[in-house]
Amino acid sequence: MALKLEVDHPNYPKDMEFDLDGIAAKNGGTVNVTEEMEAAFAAKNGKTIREIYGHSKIVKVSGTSEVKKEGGE
Amino acid sequence: MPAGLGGGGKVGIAHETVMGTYVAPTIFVPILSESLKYTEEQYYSEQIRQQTIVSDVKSGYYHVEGDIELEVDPTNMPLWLHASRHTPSFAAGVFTYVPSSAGSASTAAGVTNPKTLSITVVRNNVVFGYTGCTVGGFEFMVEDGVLKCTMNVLGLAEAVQATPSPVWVAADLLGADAHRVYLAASAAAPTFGAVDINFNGFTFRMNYNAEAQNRIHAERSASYVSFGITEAEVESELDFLDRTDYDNFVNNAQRAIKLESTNGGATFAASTSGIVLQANRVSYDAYDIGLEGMGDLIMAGFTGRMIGIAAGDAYSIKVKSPTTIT
Repeated sequence: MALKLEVDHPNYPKDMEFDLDGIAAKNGGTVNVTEEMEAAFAAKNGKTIREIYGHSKIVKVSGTSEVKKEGGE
Repeated sequence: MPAGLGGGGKVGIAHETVMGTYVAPTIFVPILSESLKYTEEQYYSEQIRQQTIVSDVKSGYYHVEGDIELEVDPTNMPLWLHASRHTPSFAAGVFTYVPSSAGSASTAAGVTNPKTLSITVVRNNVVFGYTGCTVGGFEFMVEDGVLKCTMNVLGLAEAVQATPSPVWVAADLLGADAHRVYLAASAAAPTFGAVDINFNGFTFRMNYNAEAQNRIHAERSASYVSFGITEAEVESELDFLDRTDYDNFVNNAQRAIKLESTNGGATFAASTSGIVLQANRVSYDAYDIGLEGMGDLIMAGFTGRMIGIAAGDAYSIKVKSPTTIT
């Protein structure tokens, strides 16, 4: 299962649109992250989605990364 | 690590449950600039010991202070206004802030209580976590048609923190089509008439004379932020057309003045987001009119001091915002 982001921000209304460092999401919604989105995120931020959002109180990260590590995985 | 640019930085804030205890940011605020800094008074020993240069140094008390400049965005402005010397309230989607006489910053749960902030600043991917922060002064200003605000921030302590997880919302700025200025006779609830279209600039500032207070507690960080006298002013320039307000200055007749800035220029009541800066009793400190030059427009420049009013508040700030504060 690819990475999935679930956003629940208590300070903002449902369906408010967010930019999660380059990934669009809505409050109360989920985003299925494609391999291309993961790769673009890592290229932009120098870190993986889990590294940036793994400890977030607002964004829940589930699933597994689709990005193949260097050398094949 | 290579050199970084300011544009790669970020500022996140969170209201604190316990004053001075770090809370990871959940609100990320676009800013124009910041200058928060660790401020310490070191102790240099002037022991007399056959030399004329100080012989030792001990770390002293410290606190955090600096300015944050941003474009006013109704989405995030209530977070900052809650962290200042105001009595906040909330009804029908509108946050209202009136001046309080609190002697120091505090934090408590509930939308009607002021709060302190944890402010996280990331500079070139290095994280600074400032805690126990309070806004000790605001300067709202219409500049280049956009309502901006510079806040003087004081905090208790600084420590390294984990890299925050940014969640950005779309900007909701208040541009040239957003602003309207009104003048009226001073009253606890002034009756404002038609929009005054002669203003060229508008500055609304409050200084709570905040100071970080260090107490003996086996820590070098500050214990709390105190407030002094609230000094609140309105400053502007407008086309000089008649003697009315000049005479008000001479006769010390107080005025009320209001800036409404709303998304798309709708009335505040009809708007989805906006801010109202309203001074209910203003005494002109200065009202300057001159013939500046052969080709110069004749303008009146004034500074007005806000003063208390019976059965009302010297000023109020209202923000219509989609944000929830608990």
